[in-house]
Amino acid sequence: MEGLIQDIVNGLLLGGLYAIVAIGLSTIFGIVRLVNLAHGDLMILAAYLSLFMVTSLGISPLLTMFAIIPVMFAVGYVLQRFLLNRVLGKEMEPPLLVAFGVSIIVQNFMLMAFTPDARSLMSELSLMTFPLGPDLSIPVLYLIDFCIALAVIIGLHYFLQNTYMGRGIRAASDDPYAAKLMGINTQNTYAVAMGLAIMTAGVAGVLVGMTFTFYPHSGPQYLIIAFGVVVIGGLGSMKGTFVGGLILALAQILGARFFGPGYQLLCGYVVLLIVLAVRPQGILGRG
Amino acid sequence: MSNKKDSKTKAMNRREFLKQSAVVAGTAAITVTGLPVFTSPAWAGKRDHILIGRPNPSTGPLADFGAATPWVDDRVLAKINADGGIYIDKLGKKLPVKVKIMDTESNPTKAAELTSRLIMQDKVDLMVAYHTPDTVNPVSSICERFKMPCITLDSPLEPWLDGGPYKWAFHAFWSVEKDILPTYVGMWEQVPTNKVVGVLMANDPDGVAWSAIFKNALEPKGYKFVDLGRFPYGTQDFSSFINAWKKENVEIILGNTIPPDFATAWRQCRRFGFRPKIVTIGKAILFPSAVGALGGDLPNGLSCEVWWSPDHPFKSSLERASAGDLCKDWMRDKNQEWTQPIGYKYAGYELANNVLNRAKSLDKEVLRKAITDTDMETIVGPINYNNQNYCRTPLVGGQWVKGDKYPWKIKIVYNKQHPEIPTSGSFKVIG
Amino acid sequence: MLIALTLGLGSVPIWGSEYAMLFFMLFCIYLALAQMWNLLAGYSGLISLGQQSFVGLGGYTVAVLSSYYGINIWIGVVLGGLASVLLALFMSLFIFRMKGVYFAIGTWIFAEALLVWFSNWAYVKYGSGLFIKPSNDLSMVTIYYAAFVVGAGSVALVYILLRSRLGLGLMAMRDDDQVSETLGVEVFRSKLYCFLISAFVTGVTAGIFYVFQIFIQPYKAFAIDWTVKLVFMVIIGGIGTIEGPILGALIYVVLSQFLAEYFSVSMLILGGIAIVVILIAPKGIMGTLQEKLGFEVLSPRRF
Repeated sequence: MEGLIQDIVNGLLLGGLYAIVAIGLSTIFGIVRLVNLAHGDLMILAAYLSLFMVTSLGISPLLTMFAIIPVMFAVGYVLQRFLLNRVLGKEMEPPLLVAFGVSIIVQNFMLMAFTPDARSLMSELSLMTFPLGPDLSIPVLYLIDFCIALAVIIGLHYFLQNTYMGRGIRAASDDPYAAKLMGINTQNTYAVAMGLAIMTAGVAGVLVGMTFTFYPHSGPQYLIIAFGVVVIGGLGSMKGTFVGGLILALAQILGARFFGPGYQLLCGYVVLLIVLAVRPQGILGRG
Repeated sequence: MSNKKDSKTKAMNRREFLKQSAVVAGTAAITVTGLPVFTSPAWAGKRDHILIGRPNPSTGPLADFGAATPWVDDRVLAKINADGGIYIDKLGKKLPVKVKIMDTESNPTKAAELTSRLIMQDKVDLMVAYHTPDTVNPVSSICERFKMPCITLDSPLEPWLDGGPYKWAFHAFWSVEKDILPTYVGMWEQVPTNKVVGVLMANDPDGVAWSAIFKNALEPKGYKFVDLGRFPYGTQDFSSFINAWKKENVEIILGNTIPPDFATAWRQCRRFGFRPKIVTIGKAILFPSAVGALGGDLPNGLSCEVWWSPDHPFKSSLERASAGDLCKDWMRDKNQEWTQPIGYKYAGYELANNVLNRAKSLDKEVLRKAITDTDMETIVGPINYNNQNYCRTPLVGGQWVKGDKYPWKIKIVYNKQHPEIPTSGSFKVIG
Repeated sequence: MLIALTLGLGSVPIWGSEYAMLFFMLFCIYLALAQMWNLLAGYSGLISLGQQSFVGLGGYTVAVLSSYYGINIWIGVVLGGLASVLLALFMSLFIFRMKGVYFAIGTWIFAEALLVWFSNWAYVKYGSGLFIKPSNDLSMVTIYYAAFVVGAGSVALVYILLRSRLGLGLMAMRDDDQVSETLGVEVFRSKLYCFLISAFVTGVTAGIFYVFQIFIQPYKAFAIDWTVKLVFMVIIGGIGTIEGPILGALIYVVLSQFLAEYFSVSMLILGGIAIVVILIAPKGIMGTLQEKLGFEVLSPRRF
């Protein structure tokens, strides 16, 4: 089974990237009960912003993260505070549909601003590999993606567990009324949560832009990946998101290996549908 | 009590009335504003110019093909309209030619929609389109359905023939089986190889046609094909391909993809340490911009088909210019390297001009007949449609090497099918 | 007055130019699709983000039957509808176990899976797509009338459906799921029926659309774009009303034809209007009119 080890290694590393793609969606869904359908598109927006900085300033894409992070946080905050907070309520439809609207607006804005041409955040890192023996070489880029993803997820976990704001967010999600009684400004808290989520989306977007080619319409495919990770791994669990990412990535790569490259995505979808039907709360999720 | 009821019913009646009148008013407004658009036909007789419809992939993955528009279009139209335009018998005067270029966004469904609009709303007199089956095939089909004379170029023959048989659509380009195959194989056999070929083809009309034709023709000749199947546009991970090629000791890569997908695949080959001797790719590496974007020394030694170049010994029928002159002007005006579609965009208008001049009419049937009778020399070579509405154009093989003025340039390295087109180098394996 | 409108639509080929037929044909097609989405989302509480599964399947059925087997195009269209029903039945095994947003995303995933499946299938020529080749010459008039039948028919269908026992049950469900269940309304069955019916109509409508379009390709046939348009049409027009989709479809076709050369701008505007509508008038234009002025042209209410 030559190359199987390589495929598995690739799958695991890619899983890290998928996890960070999903963490924002998972966080927001867990906290505000909102499925942000614009998640993927905001990721790609970050990729384009990074591209803009790379081409105009000539810096490496990784460096652009320093700017992307605050910008995307602001985007998320504003989005939640002034738009999504107004439709949060009992019914599930309005926020879903507003997010849908935002998704379409962002996509078409990018289409108009950046044309439908394929883009990539190129750097010397994209071509480098780290050979580990005759049959195994680790693409440096995948490794970097994995490490950054891990760092961000652990960082977010720490934030939510141990800081005042983090605890405020969790309180507001558990019981908004009680939280308000305790003096927490839920409007602001939700907005901060969304800001964090979109910030991770921004980081994910830059990583995705460095690893793969992207188009203005690439957003939805990453939304599906994010959703897949959340469903498989389980809601409300950082470990779950990570595990979900690994499983989805492995399913795709091994699926490509056994069924043919065109079926890569399909294998991921099938696994997702099965989990959705059989155990909707995910493997490590809390029902 | 009854008073209340009365006033209520009165209120209701008023509301009813308001409601009815609002709807009537609304409908009337829409009808009045919309009526002219819907009922008055706009046809050339009432126009003071001849209108050519031009669906073009100006954006999207095929944007490189469409990039020379509108430079070429403007230049040719200027020449055609130089002394008034085309003489139309029925009107007893000359009409200038105008063209409506619309962006298909490299999307065949959008191309089909645009073509319908051009035919039904803009009521063009003639359709001219180019650039890969994703543009040409839908345009030809729609023109065929709505009986619009259609001239297309720059897309391999077999996928186009798939949508036929055609009465109204005419096409000129090379054939995969009769031109590409001998050219590619001709190049490969210039150097020693183990005849193991890895296949990298997308699941589009080109990929499907090319893979079948190559396998059928070459397997009997001792070539072994390592084919994992067709992949969709935008595939991000080619590791399964690369693993299989490494395992089977592939020395030749044969492919047909859109430029971004080849870039992804070729970079991954390098990332995983796979270095074949020969890489011959259709469609994806025709353009200096796409090739340059590969990065590093990845473009060196890549081979592809060459259907037009400054060295092609053909001249324009509209002005005193050769292929070389056209390229020189492009490089002077745009400060960019020449690209292959320039000649074909130009030729499409040469054909339109020739047809219109011979037909002297805007009647669709007369135009169609005039196209069938075409027999002329254009800047891409001689064009003469056969009874299946197509014509083969010359093809030679080329290879990318480091350039002088620009980072990379293409050398013609194989011309056995068409010795009239000179070679400028010899085929080498990738160093 | 409704009769006048219907007559007007029905007689377009007589007084209209070819372009008018194109315009109103698109209107009828989008109207039918929007009515079906509205039936699901507005009346059955099922937000489907995967109607494109049926669009693609309906279209491909027509393409395959006409190109490979030379079957009469209209039979192909009906068979496309039937194929969609079978698909819906299959889908329901999976997605009817899912609730709320999971249901919505589940329908979407199904469509994406179909997209990948079709683009890898040699039988339908992978991603390069198929041509629809009718065995006999089709005029624009015939196609228009087919679209008209579907468009007007969908409105009539929804109207009749909602005034029937099924419809009463749906409206009760809409008001309160659990209460109506205790009153004997078969929630699950009603939803399933609506899902199947919408699948059929969507499949047939798509078949007609692709007869016009001549060319079908998996990337566009199974794309989320279809759902995007339907959602906007129904939201802006008025979700949960019968007139809503009519208005929504009209607005969409006007906007998209007007801005045909600037597709992205039209989508941007559409998205923007949709968001504004959701924020200010969540029941859409017709819905708000209904609420405020008791303005109902097509009332499924029985009193």
